[in-house]
Amino acid sequence: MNCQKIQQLLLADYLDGEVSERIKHEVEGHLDLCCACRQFERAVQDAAIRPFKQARRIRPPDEVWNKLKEAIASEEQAAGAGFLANIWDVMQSIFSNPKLAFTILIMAIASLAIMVIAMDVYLNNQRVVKNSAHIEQPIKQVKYLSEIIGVSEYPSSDDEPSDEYDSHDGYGTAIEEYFL
Amino acid sequence: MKEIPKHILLRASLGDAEAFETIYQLASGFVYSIALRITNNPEDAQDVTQDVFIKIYKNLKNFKFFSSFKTWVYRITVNTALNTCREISRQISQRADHDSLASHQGEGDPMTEIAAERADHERLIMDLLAVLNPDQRACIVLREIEGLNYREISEVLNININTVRSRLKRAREALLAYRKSEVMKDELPKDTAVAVSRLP
Repeated sequence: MNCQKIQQLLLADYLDGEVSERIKHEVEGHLDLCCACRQFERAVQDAAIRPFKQARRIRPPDEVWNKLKEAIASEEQAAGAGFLANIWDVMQSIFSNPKLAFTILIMAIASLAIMVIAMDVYLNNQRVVKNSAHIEQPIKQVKYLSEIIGVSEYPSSDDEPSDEYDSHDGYGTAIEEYFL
Repeated sequence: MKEIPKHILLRASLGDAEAFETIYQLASGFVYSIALRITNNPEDAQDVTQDVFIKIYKNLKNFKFFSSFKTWVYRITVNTALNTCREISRQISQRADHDSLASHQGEGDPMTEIAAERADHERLIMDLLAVLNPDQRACIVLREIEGLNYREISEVLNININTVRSRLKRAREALLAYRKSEVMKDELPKDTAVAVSRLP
């Protein structure tokens, strides 16, 4: 490697530890022999490397934190106001276009009509269910009367088995027994 | 920057103000130092720091921990600082900025010998960084001050490694040339130095 190539490496890769071991040895071998390149390396170190090594961390002044808190608070406020403003903008854009406004109005009316119909159907169903509850009462009464007079037209679950019920030839009254 | 525990980041992402303040306490020195080196101006660095933390606050809920928090903060800080440099192409003399930094650091307490030495060193660093353009400055800051390697710099700046290499090379050539001119000025008699400094 010639001096020019070595000095290019000294300006970046070699000083930054980004060269392979082989290249590193080659550069070091050259520096041992070449006074000009050694001087060049020292100059680069003095001008561009060493001054930055002692750079300190500097904390920002306290006012930065105070300003930051204020900025975040105003950002959040703006975000809230921005949301309302967006809604307002959308409304304005809708009503500034008659065709769009008409479509939305029709859709709203249709939705309202569907809701009314659905509500009506629901209420009717409720009424039918209530009426069926009223029907059950007379059925119970007939059942009760039939039990009194001994007619098992409405057998209950705790009645005798059905074959016994089927074997009855009559009503079991005194008149019937007399004739039979 | 000290590693910030994950639970603090999670709490801050859910809007916990105390956790966010902890993040600020741990990372503000890191952010401000990088911003200061890249913008080379304390007021701009303060604005950049504020912007960076607002971005962190807003985007922390989207941070998925795929990359480290530090790398993420590096990227936000360097990009915000570079954008500030590009936006603000002002013609303020660097000397005035340096004076304001020195006075800012010395505020409130008498200038001890150590403080004076530090102020001198800060001035030297700012003089050197002023020689470079913002892109070169970002590379030098990340390499020399933050100690990142080429791959890490390329990730932070979103450029390829060859670009990192060539920017560092150009930056060091510029710093060498500046150093030579400074040495020449010191070696020349005072009158000649003034004449040289007036040369275009």
